[in-house]
Amino acid sequence: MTKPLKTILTVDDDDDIRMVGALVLKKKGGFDVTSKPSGQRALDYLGSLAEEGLPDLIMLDVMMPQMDGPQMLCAIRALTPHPVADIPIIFMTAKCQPDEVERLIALGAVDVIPKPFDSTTLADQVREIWDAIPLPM
Amino acid sequence: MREAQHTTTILRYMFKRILPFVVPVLLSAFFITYEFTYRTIKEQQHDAIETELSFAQQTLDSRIQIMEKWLQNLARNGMVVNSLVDPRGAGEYIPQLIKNLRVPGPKGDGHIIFLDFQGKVLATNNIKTSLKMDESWLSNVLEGQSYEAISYKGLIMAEPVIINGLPEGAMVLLLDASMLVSFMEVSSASGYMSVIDTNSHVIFSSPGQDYFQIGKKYNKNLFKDWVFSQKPIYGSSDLFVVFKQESKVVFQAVLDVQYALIAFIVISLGGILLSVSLSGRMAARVLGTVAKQIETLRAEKDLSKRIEVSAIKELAYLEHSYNDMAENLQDTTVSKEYIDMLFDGMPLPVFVVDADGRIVRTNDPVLSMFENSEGALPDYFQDAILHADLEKHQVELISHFAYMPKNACDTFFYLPKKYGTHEMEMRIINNDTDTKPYILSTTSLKNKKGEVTGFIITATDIVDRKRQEKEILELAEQNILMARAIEEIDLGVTISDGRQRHHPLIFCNQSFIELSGRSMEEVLGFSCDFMQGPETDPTVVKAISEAISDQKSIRVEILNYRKNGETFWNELSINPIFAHDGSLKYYVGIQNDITNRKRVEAMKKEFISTVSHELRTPLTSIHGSLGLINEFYEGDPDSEEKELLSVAYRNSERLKFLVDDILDTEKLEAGEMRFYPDYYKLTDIVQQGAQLNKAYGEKYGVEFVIADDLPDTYIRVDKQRMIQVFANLLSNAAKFSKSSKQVDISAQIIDLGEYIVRIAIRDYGDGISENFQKRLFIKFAQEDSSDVRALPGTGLGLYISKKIIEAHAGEIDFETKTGEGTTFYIDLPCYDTPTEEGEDNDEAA
Repeated sequence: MTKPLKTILTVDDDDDIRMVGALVLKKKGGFDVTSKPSGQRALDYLGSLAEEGLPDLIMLDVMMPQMDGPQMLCAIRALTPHPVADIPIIFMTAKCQPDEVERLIALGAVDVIPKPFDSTTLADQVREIWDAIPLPM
Repeated sequence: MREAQHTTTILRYMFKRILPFVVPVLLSAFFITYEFTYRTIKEQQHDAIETELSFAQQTLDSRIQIMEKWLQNLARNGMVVNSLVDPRGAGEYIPQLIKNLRVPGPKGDGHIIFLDFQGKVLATNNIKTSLKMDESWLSNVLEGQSYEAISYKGLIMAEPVIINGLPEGAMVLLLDASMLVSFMEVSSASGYMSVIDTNSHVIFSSPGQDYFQIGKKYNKNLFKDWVFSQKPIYGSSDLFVVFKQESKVVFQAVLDVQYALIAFIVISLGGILLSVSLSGRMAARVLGTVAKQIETLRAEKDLSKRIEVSAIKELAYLEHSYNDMAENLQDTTVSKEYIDMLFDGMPLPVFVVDADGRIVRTNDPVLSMFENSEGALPDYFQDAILHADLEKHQVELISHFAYMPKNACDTFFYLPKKYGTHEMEMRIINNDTDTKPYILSTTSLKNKKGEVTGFIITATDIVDRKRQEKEILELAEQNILMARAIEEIDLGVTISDGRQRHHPLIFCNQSFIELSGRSMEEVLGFSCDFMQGPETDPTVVKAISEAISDQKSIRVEILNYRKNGETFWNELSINPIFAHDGSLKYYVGIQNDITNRKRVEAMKKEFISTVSHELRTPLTSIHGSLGLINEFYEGDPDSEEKELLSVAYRNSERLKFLVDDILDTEKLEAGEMRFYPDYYKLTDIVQQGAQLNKAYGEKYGVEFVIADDLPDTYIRVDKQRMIQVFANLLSNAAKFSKSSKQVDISAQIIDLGEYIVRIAIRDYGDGISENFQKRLFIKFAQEDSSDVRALPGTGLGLYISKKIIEAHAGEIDFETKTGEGTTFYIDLPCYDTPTEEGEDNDEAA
């Protein structure tokens, strides 16, 4: 993707992980990070934004109570033709066996980052994924 | 009446039949009797004559003997003898003597002749007489022997006169035949008597008879029917007495009897005719009564009347027969009504069809068969039957139940005619939408000659049967599928007979054969305990036998043995199957070889245990170090550094709890967890539990509120473990009390008898989802749901809590209501006072 990655929305129900993750992405990657504790809160947040204020990337925890990551992804994709539906999504999960990764990619995620993430490399990893995303037609 | 001219009365008939028979019989009887009587009388007469004859003979014999004796005496007379010695003296008085002699006889007649040895007559009483007879006798006499001869000429008797042993002369007696016979004094009252010699010279005839002249010779045949004396009249003589009965006498005797006989026969005949006429009249009367009754019956149709039964057997039989007939007729009439009722009341549709195929009678169900409200048989069915063209007439033939040649198919009654009865399955089309399948069973009716006179058709609604057939087919298919599934399933399946002693196996599948390592023959009929061995846990075996004796289901893990001695872990579940009456029928056993699973589980446990222990060491230092740094951080408390420190510390603590919980779980499952119980006041434990978790509650903004009315009682617990349970329950409550900021802790004694206290921890959260309720106390190791994430922490807390409470002889449970919150209960035994033994134990962790 030619467009530089600037804003990221992270969604995780674990307060500590959410906080550490956001901090790592801010400090190491220099991204503008917003984090939300649940899918519903994230959707509310996205809904409150103007079209040009939408995040460039969304990072979703897979296992969450009430609305889990895949449900959240489907909810966002369902918002098409609103541009929010086109935001690339990365899953983060502790379960990263190959078939689970395959399932998540098939759902429409651009990639899956295994948990626990390495705080020293997380930002680079995200940037690499971002750069590898093909341009929309 | 039309047959009058040929009929006759019973009486006449009987006479006509009886007389030709009776008359000859009576006549023959008469003649036989006559003949018999005649012979008998003749015989009697004959016997009488014989007696008379023998009497006459005896008389003659005795007379002759007397004369003989007399002659002998005369011959031995001294005078006579001396006359021969002294001829002079003889010449004087001997002739005188002889002259005066009287022969002993009827008239004293008879000639006496005295001879000398030269044959010269010395003296005689009848000079006229000369011995003209054959004189051969003289030589005999003169030789010294007596002589005697009787012939038709008369009797000659000679006696020698003996002097000094020598015959010197002879004394001779001569009697005329007529004189001789007069000796016999024969009576002739009953007939004629004659004396004849063998040459039929008649010597004597009884007076008054004219047949035979004395001295004449007659033809022998004339004496044929005369009665001859059995012996000669005298000694060796050839004279016989003959006797002829006068037949008039015999006939008269017979005639006397015959009168009686005739009288008897006449009376018999009269008697027979009288009895015939009497019985004829009687029969005529009875027959008349019966005939009249039948006539009345025909006229009045009253079957209830009966005839009085008379005493005569055969007639009574007739009368009985009539009464029976009347009764049967009555019965038949009644049964005809029954048959009508039956026919109309039969639930099956029944058609009676005549030989031409026309329906002549139907019952009510036939109408409902066609759902015809008008009360009439639809024409098309008649047409269908009549023309046998079923399909054109709203009747669809489904199948024939008997073999039917294709070209014979066009006649509806072909097969019933041929085989007597026939079934066919057909569908009756009532309207376009509704068709009903029926079985029509047609039976032909035949008369005595075997001609078909009609048919009876019964229709059977087979809607239900069709449905049942389908259901049975489906059921059978299911059963086959199930049987195949059981055969191919990877679990051992056994069925044992619960009604026999020791519950022998009656079924097992292939998997069980493989599992047990035995052949089918070594398994079936045996009790399932052949799988147990020396290392099988006896408590598990006991639990199984208790469950079986209680007829309850049980699921255990048991160490079993194959035939070759190899052991395996068997996850065995036994379920009783009960019969309809509630009695035990079978036990179904499901066996699962979980040896591998057990091994993997053991390895997993071992691994987790090892890892946890290994984790603990570095974790302790990390946790300790972070704790210290966090506590003594001197920088900006709002800085990111401080925040990261807090995160690090908090999560190292979380990790520590997790490792502790895993190790606790391992200990609990291995039975290695040790408890150190003691008596504590309930309020103390509750307050401490709340106090120690207060900080955690505050983190969620939740306050733990202890009720004022906690009962003043003691519980016997391991304090550390109890605090751990409180920590688990309170932290959960705090986490789920997001909307409300209060968690209530209360307690009350719920069972005064057993003395049990219930501690309740109630939150006002959203409640626990139904799905998760079931798995609440199950350790996370077997969970893979995101729901676990709803319980931040280890996912082991409730599992460990339950185990701890159970180890304290208590129970843990919960109540939850969506939107209103959840209450966890801990029930524990409680005590009024701490007992002495409790105080001996030191508080220890």
